[in-house]
Amino acid sequence: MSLENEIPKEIIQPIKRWNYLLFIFIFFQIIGWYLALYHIGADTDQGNVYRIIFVHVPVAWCAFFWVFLSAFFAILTLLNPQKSEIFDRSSHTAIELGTLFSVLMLITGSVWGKPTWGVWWDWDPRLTSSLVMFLICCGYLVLRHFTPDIRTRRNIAAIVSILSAVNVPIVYYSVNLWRSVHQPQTFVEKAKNVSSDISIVLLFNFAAMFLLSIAIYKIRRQSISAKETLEYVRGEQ
Amino acid sequence: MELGFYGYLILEVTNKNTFERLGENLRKYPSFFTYFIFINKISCRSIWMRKASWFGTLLFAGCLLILFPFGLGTEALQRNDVRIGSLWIINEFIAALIIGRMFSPEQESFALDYILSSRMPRAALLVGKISFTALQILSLQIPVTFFWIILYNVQTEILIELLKTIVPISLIFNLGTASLGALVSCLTARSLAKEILQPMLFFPLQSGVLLAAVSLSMQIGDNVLLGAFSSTAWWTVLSAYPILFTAMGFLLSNVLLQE
Repeated sequence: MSLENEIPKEIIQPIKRWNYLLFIFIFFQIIGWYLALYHIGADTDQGNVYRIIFVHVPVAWCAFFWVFLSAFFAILTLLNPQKSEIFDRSSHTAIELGTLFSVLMLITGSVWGKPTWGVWWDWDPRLTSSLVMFLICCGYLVLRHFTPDIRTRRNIAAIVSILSAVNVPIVYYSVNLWRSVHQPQTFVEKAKNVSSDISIVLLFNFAAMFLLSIAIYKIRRQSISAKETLEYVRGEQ
Repeated sequence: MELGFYGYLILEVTNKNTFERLGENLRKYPSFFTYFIFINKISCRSIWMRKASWFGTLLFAGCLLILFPFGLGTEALQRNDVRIGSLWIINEFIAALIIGRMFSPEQESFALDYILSSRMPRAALLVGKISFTALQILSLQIPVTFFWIILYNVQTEILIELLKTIVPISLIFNLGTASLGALVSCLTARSLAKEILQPMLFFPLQSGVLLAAVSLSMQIGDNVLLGAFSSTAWWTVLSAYPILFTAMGFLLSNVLLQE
């Protein structure tokens, strides 16, 4: 790498300081997966296949959380124009994570669907609405890329982010609203869909996955901030 | 004779001077509604001046009407299964084409900048455009539905019942599509790849209203795809679209429409 293209320490240092979260995640995830594979018994109907729930559900919750958080920052971007730069960066990073976890949710869902439903994909309300959410998140990222004016980019990206969050409750409640082949929500008041053992391990796995998402968020947020600052200094914005 | 409050109100309303005064005040201090009507009027005039684009869209819809049976099966049995879906997908394409050119007449004649720099509330411009676009989609849906009835051999026994269902669904579908389309048009107006981004955002967001329209229309006739029918949920989805997206457009009009 030539000297002028080398990234300065002032930029790399704040990005690297979040690496410790990745190590904590690995530690927690190994325990989480050990509990999921060896501590919990097999399901009477699905056998061992159902164990993918310990990846699929945490990933789905993370997707919902980050898409919602992106919309929260997007609202702040629109309400507070003085600090819109900061909120926009946070909203952008959060929706990138939402997109990443949405695609993971779709892949793990498909992997679970093949042995249980016999197909990789079914046009079921939960699956379709999840796909729509993913497509809107992709639309957000493409729209940002193709909008050169920074002020316009912030405003329109904020609106698309809010639109994508509108879809989250639809995805979550779709199994109740329409007849669906997908199983009902994992945690519902009054209806006990999972045993307490499974619930604890599931929450533990979610905590680990959430830790990973926070680590990625922090690292990506710093790099977006650094990239935009560099662009500003170079006069590209 | 004692006239009472309503008596005086009737006298006041029927008085010619009252209307003259009202008209004068509206001219002096135009209300939101006056601007709304004005936007509809100029949109109507611009469409009249560009009749060829309306006929072009109709011809395109006609081509789709012919193409669908080729792609999905020309046999009578298969045609019966796909006819409702075909109608709504053709409507979807009509809507997409119209929404792609929603602000084009004003942009091409440089009128949009004048409108945006005037004192007209931007919400009035957006709501006016939504209502006009909904009407424009309807103006194309009417001849398309007529050709659809002929080309897809819709039986006369179910025709009245089908139309009774399709008409209210179409009206709400158009409003929902137009309100979402206005939002997406404004969002993509300043981007470099407008022609890619507009359908990319429009179709996924619009899928809910399309699904609702198809599912609600399917209850008519002996359709084999009737399986997952839940009327209340679909009506909720269908009605939520125009309310949600018009409200969003109304609230965010100043951000969406910038000079």
